[in-house]
Amino acid sequence: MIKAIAKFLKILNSETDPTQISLAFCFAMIAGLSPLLSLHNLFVVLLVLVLRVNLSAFLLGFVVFSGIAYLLDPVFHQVGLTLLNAPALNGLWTGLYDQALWRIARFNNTLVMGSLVLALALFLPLLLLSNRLIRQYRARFLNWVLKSKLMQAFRATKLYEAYETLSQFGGSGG
Amino acid sequence: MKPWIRWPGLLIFLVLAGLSYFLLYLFIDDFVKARIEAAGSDWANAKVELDTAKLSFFPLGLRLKRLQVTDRENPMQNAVEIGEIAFLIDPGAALDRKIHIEEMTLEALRLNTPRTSSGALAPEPEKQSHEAKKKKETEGLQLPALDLPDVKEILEKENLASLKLIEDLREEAKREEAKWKAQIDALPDKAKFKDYEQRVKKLKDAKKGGLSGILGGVQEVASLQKEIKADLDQIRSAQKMLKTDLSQLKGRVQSLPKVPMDDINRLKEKYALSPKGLSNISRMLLGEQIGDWTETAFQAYEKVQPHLAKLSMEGAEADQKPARGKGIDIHFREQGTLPHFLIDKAQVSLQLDAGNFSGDIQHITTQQALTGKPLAFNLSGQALKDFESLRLEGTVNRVDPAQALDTLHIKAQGHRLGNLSLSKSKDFPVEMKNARADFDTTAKIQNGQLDAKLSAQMNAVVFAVGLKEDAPTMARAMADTLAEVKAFGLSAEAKGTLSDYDLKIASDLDQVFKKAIGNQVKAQAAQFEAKLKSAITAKVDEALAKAQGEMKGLDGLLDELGGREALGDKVLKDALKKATGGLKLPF
Repeated sequence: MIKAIAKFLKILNSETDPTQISLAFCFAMIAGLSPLLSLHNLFVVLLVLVLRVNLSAFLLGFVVFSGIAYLLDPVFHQVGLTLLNAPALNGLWTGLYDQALWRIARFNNTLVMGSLVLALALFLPLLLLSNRLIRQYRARFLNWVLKSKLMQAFRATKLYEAYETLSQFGGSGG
Repeated sequence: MKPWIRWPGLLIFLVLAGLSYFLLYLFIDDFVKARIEAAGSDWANAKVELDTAKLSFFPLGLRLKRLQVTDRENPMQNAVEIGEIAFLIDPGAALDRKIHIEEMTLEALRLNTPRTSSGALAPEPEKQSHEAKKKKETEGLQLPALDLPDVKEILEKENLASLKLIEDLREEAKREEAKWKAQIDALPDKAKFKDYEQRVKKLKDAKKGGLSGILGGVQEVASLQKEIKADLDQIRSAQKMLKTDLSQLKGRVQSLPKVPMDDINRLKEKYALSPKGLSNISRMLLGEQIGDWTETAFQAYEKVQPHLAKLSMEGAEADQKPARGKGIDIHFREQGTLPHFLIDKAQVSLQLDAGNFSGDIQHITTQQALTGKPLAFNLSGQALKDFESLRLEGTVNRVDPAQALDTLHIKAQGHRLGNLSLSKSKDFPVEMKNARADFDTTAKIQNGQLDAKLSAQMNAVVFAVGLKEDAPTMARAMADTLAEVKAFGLSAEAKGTLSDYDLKIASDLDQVFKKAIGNQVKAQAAQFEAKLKSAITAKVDEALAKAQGEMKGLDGLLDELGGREALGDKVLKDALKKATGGLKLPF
């Protein structure tokens, strides 16, 4: 975990394209918020591996969003229940229910439906927000952070040692 | 800038996928075993264990070895243990996340087997005291009195309806008397009529004052006469009403039966072994045992009831509270009619203490509404420990959950019964030492309403009655009769709800008893009736005399009114005569 944080800090402070980091967060949000053993998460992993998104950011994001998912479990269930019981959507769900692929995807589970819909809805806003925040961070705060007393103290910790070690090995953004 | 596509990532994905499949293949059996144990424990609310699970992909099927379901109420015992379960799964249905098993075999199913370790999941639920319930229900089953009951004792503790009737009448007479006393007090009394007399006298004196006095007196007489008449009218009206009330009360006293047969019959039926009571001897002798069997059957039914309820899951989704991280699966209308879980037929072999049974269970699903077929089972055993043969057939119908219907048909041949205690009465303990029973039972429970029937023929019967040396003659006669019985037929019927049902039992034992000791019973009943009649009549006569005494008060009031009327009449006539001095007045 320490290594993952250290690596993430390194990437954050590196020249890696902010979209690669943001996209990793967004995919992590889908995988972390929804039940892990869902068919769509297989597709997310495929995308994460094939697209050049930042793996460290994905792993860190996955841990964070899994924790959030635990807290938001009742909300996801309620959203899923509302959508799956919505009379206007009944035709759509009934159609999907008759297809094996969708059955395997467990779209009819309230938690899968609720968490996936919310994650997809937040995908683009999170992507844009993360991009902006990373750019702002690099432009305005990076130098200040590096010189701050907190960072000085941090440099004396094991975490920083790990960060340094990784820096020396020149770990890539992927 | 590096390109957005990372092709080695695809390779990594394929490697990871392959690795996952390999690991799954390697550990799938353990995974399936764990899933079955977890899901089974959830379903049964008791620890479920499995020795091994073997999943095959071609053809898709599963073989389970030694499935143990712990008895919730006794964690050191398995409620059910199944040696082997094997079945093939329809792969097409599996793709739709449905489990469709055309045929399943359950080998060596045994009940109540011991466990080597505790299967307790959670603190044991508080047991309902069936023993206490049973005791309460059977306490009422008592044999009729076998010797002549003590009439005096009976009358001390029993309330007689006829006495209550007379008491009520006496109370009413007292109320009427008080009411009439108050009314008569408000009526013109003798003093008032004496006052009229004085006024008449004064008028007579005034007449002596010449013509003017006469003319003035005529007007006053007319007024006085009017007043007296009005008072007399009040008295006469009250007298008429009192007469009516009194006559009604007296009529009711007269109509009271001299011999209250209702009380006599009721007490005779309650305390004496009447010929009618004899006709229900089979209930007295066999009721407790049949009640026990019925209770045992109902307890077993109540035990499986929560599982039967799961055979209808339609409409329950909205009410479910999901476990954290699980959610709820919402089901939609489908093109096909294949339920999510269906076993067309399960071949079952049971190894019970009573012997080996075999049979099948058909249409096992949680969505009977889709298949339109109720769960049906059929089990039979030959050459069993206590039976020559036993066959059980039944259905659990939840096709329309609002019209839940469960049926059971048990047919048994040569059921060996021995040392069966039928009556634990101190005065008449009866044991069935030996019998061979053939019976046919049908039971139907529809929406909680029970309708069960039993028809049985008992052969090779040997009864034993443990009488005391000083046992009454009647008890001895009954014991002798039972000793002669070698066979009898029996029928029973239970109707109502599981917690409150009416059990009717009939048997040709009743006729046997009627024939054998009917005359003795009749004679004893007649003797008891005569004693009872005499004692009750004496009590009623005494109460009746008191009631008639209460009427005398009202008679006195009537006399009082008569006295006032007579006085009023006399004053009125006197007034007329004296005031007019022989003149005819125009009124």
